[in-house]
Amino acid sequence: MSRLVVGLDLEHLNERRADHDLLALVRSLPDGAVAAAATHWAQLGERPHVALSMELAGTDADGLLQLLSGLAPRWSLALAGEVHGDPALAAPAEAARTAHADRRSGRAVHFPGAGLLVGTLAVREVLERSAVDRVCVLTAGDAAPDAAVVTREHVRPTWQGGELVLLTQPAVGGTLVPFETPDPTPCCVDH
Amino acid sequence: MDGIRAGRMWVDHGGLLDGLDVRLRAGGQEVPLGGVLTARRGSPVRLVIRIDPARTPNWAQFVPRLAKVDVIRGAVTGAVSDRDVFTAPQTRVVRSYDVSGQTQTIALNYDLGRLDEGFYVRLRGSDGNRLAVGLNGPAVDPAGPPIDVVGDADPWRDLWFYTNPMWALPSA
Repeated sequence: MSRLVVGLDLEHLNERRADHDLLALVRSLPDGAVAAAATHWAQLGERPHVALSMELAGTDADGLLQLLSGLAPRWSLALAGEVHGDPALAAPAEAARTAHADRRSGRAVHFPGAGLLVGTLAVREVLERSAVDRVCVLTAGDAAPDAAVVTREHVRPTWQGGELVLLTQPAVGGTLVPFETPDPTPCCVDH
Repeated sequence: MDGIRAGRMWVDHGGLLDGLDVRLRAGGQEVPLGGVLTARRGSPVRLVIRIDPARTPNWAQFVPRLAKVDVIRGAVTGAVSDRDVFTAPQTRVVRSYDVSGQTQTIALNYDLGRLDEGFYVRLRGSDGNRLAVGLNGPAVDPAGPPIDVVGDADPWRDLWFYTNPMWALPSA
């Protein structure tokens, strides 16, 4: 099946808002139209923000292009060889597209099997059910196949050198939890 | 403020120490934490440590007990070519002292050998409750701070102190 990877920049300030809009876009398109969607930290001048990428299970991005116009005042959509929208956002959109296409970096929000990673699963089950290629424990290398991962219904693996890797950390009762917390305390709360 | 700007800094968790005084000595001179000692190549370099362990309870209502003091040494090799690099050349724990049970001032003297290439040295210590082999293996850090266990971490049972480094550089 031929696939089209596109890069997007809607100038999201953080991953949480980016996740929300990215998943809304996935739901707005027909079922199965998006194979994978990810976020990428991007730089625009001195200002860091979050760009997006999507892997479409087809060769045409027209549906996505129509949705974008209503979604944000400034946006950019990078396809292979052409960029639509605001030229000022073209570079981060294109960087997100190539990072996703090369599986070099990016934080996957939507990926095959993502919806099946709920509750507590053995590492082996995470690998069987989803596109995740490896489960690692922070500071300790690969996780044991039988180790229990408490997903907290929030699983955001990242591409590293061609593999989709879920980074975890030790948790109470000998379990593992994804390193990314579903409800982080914002940095520098209230000041 | 001058002391902070000069790097004369150490930090501890949970009132682990009452006081700490560290000097780096060579060629008849000495510097405190944050200091740069310049001495002739070949001069013997010595680290002189005085630690006052906690004698009064902390905010968790217990007197913390210092169990070990580590001396960490690394080479000074000039500017890095790759600024994303996460390791420091030749840096490792070169000496670890078991000081458990000591309630009076702890005096430690560590001989750093004769000054050849520039290096830095800093201290780290712990209550000894939670220790693990460091990221770069036992040859670098055989008993460092392990990662917290989510949902089962008591910060009062995992107390450490860390000092700023001191540098020794050859003048000739």
